Amino acid sequence: MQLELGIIKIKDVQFGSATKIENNVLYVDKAELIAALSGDERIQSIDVELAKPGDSTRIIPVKDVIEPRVKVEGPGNIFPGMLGKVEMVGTGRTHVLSGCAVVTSGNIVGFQEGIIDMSGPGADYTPFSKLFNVVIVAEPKEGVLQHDHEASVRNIGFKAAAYLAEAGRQVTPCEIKKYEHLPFIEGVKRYPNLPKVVFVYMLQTQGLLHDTYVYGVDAKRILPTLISPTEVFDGAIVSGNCVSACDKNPTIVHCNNPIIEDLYDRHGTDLNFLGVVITNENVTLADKERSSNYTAKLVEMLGADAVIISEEGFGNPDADLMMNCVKIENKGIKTVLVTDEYAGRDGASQSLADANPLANAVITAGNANEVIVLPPMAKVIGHPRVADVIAGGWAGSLQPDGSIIAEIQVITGVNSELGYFTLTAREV
Amino acid sequence: MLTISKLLIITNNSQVTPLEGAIYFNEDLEQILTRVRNLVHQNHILITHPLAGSVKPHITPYKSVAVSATPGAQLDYPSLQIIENALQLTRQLKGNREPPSWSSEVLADFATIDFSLLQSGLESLKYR
Repeated sequence: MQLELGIIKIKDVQFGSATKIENNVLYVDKAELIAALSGDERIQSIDVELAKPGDSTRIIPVKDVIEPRVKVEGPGNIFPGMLGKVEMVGTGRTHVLSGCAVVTSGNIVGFQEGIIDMSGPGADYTPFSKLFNVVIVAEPKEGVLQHDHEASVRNIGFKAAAYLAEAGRQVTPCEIKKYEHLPFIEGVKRYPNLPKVVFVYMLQTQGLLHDTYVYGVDAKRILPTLISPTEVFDGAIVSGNCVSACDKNPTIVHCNNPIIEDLYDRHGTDLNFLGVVITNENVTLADKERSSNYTAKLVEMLGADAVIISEEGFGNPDADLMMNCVKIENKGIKTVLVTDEYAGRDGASQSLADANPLANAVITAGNANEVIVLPPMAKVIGHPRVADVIAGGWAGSLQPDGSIIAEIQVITGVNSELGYFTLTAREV
Repeated sequence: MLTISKLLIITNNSQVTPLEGAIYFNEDLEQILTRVRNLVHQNHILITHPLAGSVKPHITPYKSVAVSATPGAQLDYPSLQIIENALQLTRQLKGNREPPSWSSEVLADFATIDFSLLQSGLESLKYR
């Protein structure tokens, strides 16, 4: 499978009379966008606002961040199974509006998390403060239940991203990135002397506000399976995961999966990037056992020499992470784990809810319990009243001047377990 | 493989109470986990992970955990390790700060999420 990503750099976003891209500026016809998003009978109103780097703006609560992408050649469409049909994607050419994003906000549950500050100290703790954000605020009709509200906000976000991406269909990209995923036998033959590396990609899949979808399938219902990395770039995996803002994987992070990108960068140099196994993080221990057994088996069947395993979320996925690690290591295959830590506010406590001596190569995306002070912003997009009910704050964390003292876990993307951000911790 | 005919669900969430096997306790989350730990010491086996979901245990007041209704012949060591780790993490995260005083609407949302996570687990068991 061969995929070209045509990168279109977006350097500003403005409202305009027509949706188009000119001189790297994305103009958004607000009325047309809202019309394109309407029709969901569960939604009372939709509003669109812009948030730019450096603005004194706070977006809260953030549900998803989505990069506009459009398929211009090859079968299928972006976010297959969520939008359009369920054609297999990952071949042909896709245009990417890089530097901008759709951000969805919704008051789905009363306790809130997921903050993007566009300036100030909080902005330094999220990759999404550097983007030109088109923020969609969708309000439900009275009586709409949380499950339905979440589904509505999720789908409206994908539609908004698809709408904006159409503006890039005819634009000449400034850069073309080429990716190839060979049939496994050919892949092994291509670089026979390099270690064969498989990426085990754990997806959060536990229930309301904790779900991930693959080609539109709720991933808690899958057995671990193979996916081409190029399919991931085309939005085959999307987020419905709205809890644990700091270490969940928003859709933009799936589409730009840094571990996949880095494996491609080193493919043919010092490793042979063989492929990707997706697996889930379920509630029952039997499911965890089955999925980790199946994952280890798939990795062995592929003939991997080494495996990178990424986690998503907090607490119980540590058990999945360790099960995957131990079972793969016990087959004589080396593992590297990517996780984050809840090591207490002083960073001195046990970091994970599970551990094993075989997990001896671990990359951390930092300590989610670190405390930060977020000063007040001139503008709040979303639901400002929720500042006093932040999950990750505590009694008294909202200060009289409007600033918030909270753990960094309230900030979207700060502890990305796919390495989408720069935070880490190193042994000294 | 363990055959589960019936479950015991230890919960402080009144939404969960109507479920078969649920036993409600008007206690805090740590006390619920302690009850589960005590059952594990009596050879019951953990069925759902006590830290299911990403809502932190020092944030949500509600917790529902399913264990085997009947005890096994001996201690299930993996169950013990998981529940002890969950208890330790809960105490560690709580520290000396109290969570915000949640409104009744927010409490209802926490309860709904706890119920949804448990249901997701029970759903996967229904073919066993």
